[in-house]
Amino acid sequence: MRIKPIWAIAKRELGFYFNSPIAYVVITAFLLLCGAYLFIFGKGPDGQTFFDGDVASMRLLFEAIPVFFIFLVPAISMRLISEEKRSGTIELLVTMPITDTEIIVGKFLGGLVFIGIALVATLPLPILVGTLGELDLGAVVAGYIGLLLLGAAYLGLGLMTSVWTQNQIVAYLLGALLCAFFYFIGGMVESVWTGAQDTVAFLSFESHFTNIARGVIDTRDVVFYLSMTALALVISVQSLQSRNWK
Amino acid sequence: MAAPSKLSGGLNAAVVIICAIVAVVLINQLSSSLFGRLDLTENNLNVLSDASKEAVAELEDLEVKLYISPDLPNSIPFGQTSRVVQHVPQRLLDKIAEYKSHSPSMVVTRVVDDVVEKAKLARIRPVTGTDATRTDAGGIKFDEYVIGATFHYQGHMEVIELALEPEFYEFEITKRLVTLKAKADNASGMAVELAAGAKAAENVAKCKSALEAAAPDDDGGGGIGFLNQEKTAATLAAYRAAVDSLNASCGSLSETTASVEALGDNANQLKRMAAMTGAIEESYKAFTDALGAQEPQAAMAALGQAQRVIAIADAVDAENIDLKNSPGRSKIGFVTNGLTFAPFPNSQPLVPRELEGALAQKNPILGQVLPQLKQIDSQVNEVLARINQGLFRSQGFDIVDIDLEQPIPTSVRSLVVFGPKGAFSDYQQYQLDQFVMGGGSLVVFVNAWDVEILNLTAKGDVADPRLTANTSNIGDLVAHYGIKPTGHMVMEPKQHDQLVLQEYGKRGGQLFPWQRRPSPSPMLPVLSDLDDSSPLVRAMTSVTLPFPTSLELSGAATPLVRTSEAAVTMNDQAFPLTPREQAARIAAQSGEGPLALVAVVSGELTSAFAGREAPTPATSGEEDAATAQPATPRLDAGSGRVLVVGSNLGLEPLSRASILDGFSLTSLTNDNMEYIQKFRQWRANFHNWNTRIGQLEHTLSGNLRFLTNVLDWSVQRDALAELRSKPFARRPLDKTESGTRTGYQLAAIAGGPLLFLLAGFVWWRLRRRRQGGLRA
Repeated sequence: MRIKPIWAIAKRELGFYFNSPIAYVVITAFLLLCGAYLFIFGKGPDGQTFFDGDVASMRLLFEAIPVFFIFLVPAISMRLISEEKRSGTIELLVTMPITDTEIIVGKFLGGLVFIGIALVATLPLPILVGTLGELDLGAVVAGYIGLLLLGAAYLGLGLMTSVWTQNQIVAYLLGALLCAFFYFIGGMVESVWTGAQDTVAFLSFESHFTNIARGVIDTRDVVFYLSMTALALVISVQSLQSRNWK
Repeated sequence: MAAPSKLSGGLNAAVVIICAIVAVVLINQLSSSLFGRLDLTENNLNVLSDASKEAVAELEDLEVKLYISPDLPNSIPFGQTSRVVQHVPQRLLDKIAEYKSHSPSMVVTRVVDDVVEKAKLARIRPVTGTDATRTDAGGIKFDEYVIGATFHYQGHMEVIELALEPEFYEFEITKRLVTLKAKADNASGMAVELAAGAKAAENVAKCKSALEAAAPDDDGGGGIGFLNQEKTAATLAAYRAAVDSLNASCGSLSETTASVEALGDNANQLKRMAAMTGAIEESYKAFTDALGAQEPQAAMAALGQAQRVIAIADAVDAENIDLKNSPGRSKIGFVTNGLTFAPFPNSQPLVPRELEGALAQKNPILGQVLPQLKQIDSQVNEVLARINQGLFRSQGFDIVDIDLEQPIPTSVRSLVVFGPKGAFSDYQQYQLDQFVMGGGSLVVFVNAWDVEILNLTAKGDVADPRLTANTSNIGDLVAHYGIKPTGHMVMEPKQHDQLVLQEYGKRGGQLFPWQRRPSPSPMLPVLSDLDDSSPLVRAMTSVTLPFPTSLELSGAATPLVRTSEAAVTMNDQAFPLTPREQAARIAAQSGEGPLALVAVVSGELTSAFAGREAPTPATSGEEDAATAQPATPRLDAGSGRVLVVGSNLGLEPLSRASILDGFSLTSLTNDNMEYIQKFRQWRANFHNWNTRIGQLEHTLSGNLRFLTNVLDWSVQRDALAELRSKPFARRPLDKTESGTRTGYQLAAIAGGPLLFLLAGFVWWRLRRRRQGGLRA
């Protein structure tokens, strides 16, 4: 794998997003949702809003963004490959001196930077909370690291579904479905066979994220997200290569 | 290169994907056993503190058994609500794994089969779910779930009965580890007492088993069985047939009673066990006597006595468990002199049973008053027992009553003087002083003021509100160490809590409870200026100290809790208690704060009796005086710890002496009927004690944490005090007006998007300029 072509593809993707209104519309909507959720309609487990709960913390938002991401990230990833397939530019791309792995990693990197920018754009929120009370910065940093890891895993799944189809809507729906499945699978633990409960609980994106959102960076959670992302990318590469089969 | 066929390409891809999945599984497996954690929170809230690491590292070959129901639902009923437990088991497993990473010899096992039944045997408390199944007998059985753990070390065991609150895992686990260590360290010093307790419990259990085996309760419905004449007759017949074997098991309890009674002074549990085994003996004798009788009523009495034996046997077992746990508890002495609050039920009967009949016969009115008097006494004892268990024993403290006229046992590591209202003699102060000089901890909760609002008189009318200054001289002693209670009551004009006042209505000349009305009171200051460097209050947001007095500090004494600058003081018994007048008086005063309300001093201290002759205890004769000198040599200096809290946290003294003030058997036997008037006063006293507690009840739960922190600190378990407060580290928002909040909400919704769009606009302009440059 070479960095130069990967970065070139990533830049091309970012350029597509930011040279058109797409990025601005999507990220603005995301920011509006985050601000309104944190300060107005979001409620904690005790049913209290941010001001009623009277705690200077970003937990409320950090627990909601993974759900927002279920809708946002597949919207970013849906066109990554399927659009290339639909418009036929994928053939142009593969004639270049570049491997399938580099294409997938480049596309992934472009999407990840987009997610990173969306997260950076939410930084005014912790700054606002910080002016209202003493915010635990460590927990905020951990929360953002967790969101980036979770976003990467979601993006891997979205990219995978984008490889599978030419239709962006299908890619979006499949991606959102997969992300929701892995996020909410923890809630299904009690309804599965006892022997599989531990595995199901382990596969839950939510339980791993909950740990990080508390402010703890546990190597097990980091390894889990990275390995799930890598697995999704491997499957994406293999799926992309299937176009060569006769 | 030729393109692969679908089959070979598909196979190739499948192999790669399977290999990737296997690699992912292996990597995650490996990371589960070799992991590290980095807690980014400021106070390291989520990783073990040094105290916990040290506690687990000290216990070589510690064994932990985890009892977690595999079918635990997402939420379970808890009290009136339900609790989400979805991630709770994982959090418990994670926390235990974190402890294990600091103790290589620690063995962790998870009970898998019959987990609920095995957990019950290990004294883990099951939670009843909402789903039920029909039993073979036609009944309904609700599902039960467990989530708990047992810790085993050198033959000792500690249990977490119900682990539903992950935030408290570290505190709960470390507390048990510290207790296990203390048990292992101290058990050898109590070997004789523990053996005697175990033997007594074994003998009593043998008697209980014999009774149960002689007439097994087949249908499990004991109550209904008593109503069934046939069953009653069958049970009695079974008992009669087994009387020899019953005598063999239950007939020799007098030796048991004697053996535990002989050691009663060494352990309160043995004292209580002796009383219980004595009661079993009596009941068993009554049982065998009644068994021989032919009259049906007497026979029924035999069944009642048998049930009583079984019930007391269970209580003996509970005492034995308590005794076994006692080496792990830190002994704290509660001083009973000086009219303090000391939570010890009185085990002596109010009126000897043999006198009761005679008194009632002599005076029929007394016959009616006595049962009511006994009821008040038993309610007082019940409340004291509940406080003793709920506030102290369940928190791991072994509290013992200390009479300062007697030598202080060496096993006591700290003394608590809780809210004294009376004076201490020179000798009693000397005992306290020498205890501190010997390295002990002295904790004083000052009770400077009696505030009586909506109390009842002996006649049953509502008394006028009253403010009375107490006159204990404990302040004179602690002033020597640099902390002097001024006696002036501190009031916070702005930051204060409220009294909950029970108001009364009157109907037909009789008072009846009408409504509970919250009344904000500056005399209940909410204090948030806490010393961040002290584990006692570091993790607390605020403390509410009812009716506090300020402390003047000198020397090395440091304040732990202080008032705001706006706080004012008063020293006037005529100070108004009605809110409006009180507010007017306070408004006229200027702020005197910050004032210290809790302070500590430790290190090298000088004795309050240095250079003075040591006093002698109060004695009845010269011979006693000669022998009653303190056993320890006189110390003029030493390094102890003294903590003074300028409030009694609202816990007024409660004891037989304080409620039944002036009670004596002699007064009952007089014919002047004075006792009827006294009885009314005693009844009002107990009612008023409850009233005063009720007015401050809502502050007690928060103050309980402070109290237990203080007790942990006093027995040098500072680490536990800090761990207890760790989950409560709150970061409250600054107080904001509604308009400000709206401003923040608008900024949150519009600010981020506007900033982002502005950045996008700048980017677009830059790009246009660059493109323009290229065109040119």
